[in-house]
Amino acid sequence: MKHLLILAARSAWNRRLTLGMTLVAVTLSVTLLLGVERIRHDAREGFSHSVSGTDLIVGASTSHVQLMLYAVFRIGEATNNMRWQSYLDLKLNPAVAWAVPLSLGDSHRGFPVLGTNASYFDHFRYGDDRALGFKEGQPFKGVFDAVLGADVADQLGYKLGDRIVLTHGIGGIGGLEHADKPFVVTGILAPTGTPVDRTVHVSLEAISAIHLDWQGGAPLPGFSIPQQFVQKFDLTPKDITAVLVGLKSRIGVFKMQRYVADYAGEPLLAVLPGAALSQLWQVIGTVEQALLAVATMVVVVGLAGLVAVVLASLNERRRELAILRSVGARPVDVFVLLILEGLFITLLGCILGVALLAGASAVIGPWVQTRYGIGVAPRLISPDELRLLAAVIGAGLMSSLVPGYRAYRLSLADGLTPRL
Amino acid sequence: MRLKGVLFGLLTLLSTVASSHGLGAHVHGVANLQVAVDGDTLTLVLESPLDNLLGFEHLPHTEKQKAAVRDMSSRLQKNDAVFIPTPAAACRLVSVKLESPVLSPEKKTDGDGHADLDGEFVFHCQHPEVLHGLDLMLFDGFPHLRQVDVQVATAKGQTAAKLSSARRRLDW
Repeated sequence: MKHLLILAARSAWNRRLTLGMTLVAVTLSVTLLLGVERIRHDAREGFSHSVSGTDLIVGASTSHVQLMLYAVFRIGEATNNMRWQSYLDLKLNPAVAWAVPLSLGDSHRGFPVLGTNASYFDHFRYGDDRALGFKEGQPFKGVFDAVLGADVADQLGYKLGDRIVLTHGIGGIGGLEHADKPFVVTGILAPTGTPVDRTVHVSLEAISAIHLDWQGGAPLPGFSIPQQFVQKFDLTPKDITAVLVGLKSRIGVFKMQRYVADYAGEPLLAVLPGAALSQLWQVIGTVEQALLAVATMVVVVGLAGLVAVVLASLNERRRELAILRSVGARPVDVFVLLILEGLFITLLGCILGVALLAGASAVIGPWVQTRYGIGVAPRLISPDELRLLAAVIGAGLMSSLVPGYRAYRLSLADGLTPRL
Repeated sequence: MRLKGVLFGLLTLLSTVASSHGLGAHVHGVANLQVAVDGDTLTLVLESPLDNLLGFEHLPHTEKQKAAVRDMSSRLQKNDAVFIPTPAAACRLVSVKLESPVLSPEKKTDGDGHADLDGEFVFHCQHPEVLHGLDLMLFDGFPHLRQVDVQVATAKGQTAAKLSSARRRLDW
């Protein structure tokens, strides 16, 4: 067996250019397959880690998934606002343990700004029921205090005490800035791997304050209220985007959902975040399957290329195989030789593919995390991916049978028979 | 940035599809089920258009229709007939509340002629720690029912699922 291995390796080295190209194809196809699987897995993981402990998300009437995506992931379009009074009513409901108001809409250099109150830091949970922790500083106390998520501080290089200016809306060219009312960084949160990391947290009063002298989405010309005087105004928000609700008893969630749906003040919607996420996966599952199917087809194409190359090489190797036969190699040895070659290329392709993917996730991972909020965990391989790899190697072995069998048939007579 | 826009568009499109689960929708063939687990109590709330269960939504007129209503009601109240929670959890059906215009004719139906059945089923389980799912047996007795949209809330978390006669097991 060992000598066959050496023979196979030496013979392959002789044809390194064609086999090398095939190896590239197999490597890339394996990288693609594992990459699709990894992003799929990590996206699910990241999404389901982002909400925990919140029983209901309440907002203005829209679709379940849209409300959940916007309130938790800041993805998608803004929903209508709900009235402050509705929040107060909700908070006073005897079934409600805590209610955290959320107000979204402004941004800071591309990062979303979340207006909330200090209870957010007490009640928000992520992952396995983990509370938010402060890396430095403390929750906001004054109107113009801001608490930064870990990524915001990291990427923009902010420290405690730095001054930041919020942008109206999502910013971009010509975006209007709240330059007259800068904020002071009073806290930086520990990393969570959730959208919290990319969020600038300020108080609800601050959101009201920076819009005091604004009307219709723009500053009133010739009129400005200096920062030190905003306290003289009533900074109670008129409306908010959504409310995170925790209930005293989890079983009451459906009753509360109905209460919100029947709320007389305005049309509201209450979403079970976990259920909305499952519904989203049900729909996205089809897209994932399609992506995985395409990636699988690419692997099949790569392996077909491998078979074609090995088959084509049989012609140029007629003499090589015939000489092996003449010095005592059995037909079975020739068969094994060809299979070893195919298997070797597949294995090497898998190893290189895993390495390439690991390198790519290390390089692109942080960018994907900030851009799309999908945290790609740096790791070599997961059990699910290992199963895919095993399937690829199995398929490589199966497809090597084709040239193996052909060589086995031919090697009996071919090569030594002179052709006239 | 463009990719992100496409992603948003896709998600919004998908979310409109997924939002058809909303409360109060009345779609023939589809029922809503809410599952809540709290301690040793398993509470199931079923909301279904009557058409799924009876084939009609008006008050029963003929003897045949009255028999259909009685049949539905007794079928839903039978233990094991509708829901089978994880057997190892040893759950027992302790109460069934059924509410529908056809069961209490003094209440008028909605103006649009559609009517629902609301049912609340409460189980007590001896081993709630191993309770992690149930089999829904509704599809055999009620062939008009094609799909059940389920939302689940337990102490561990929330989930949602779509059940049909081909997929009757709910896991959480």
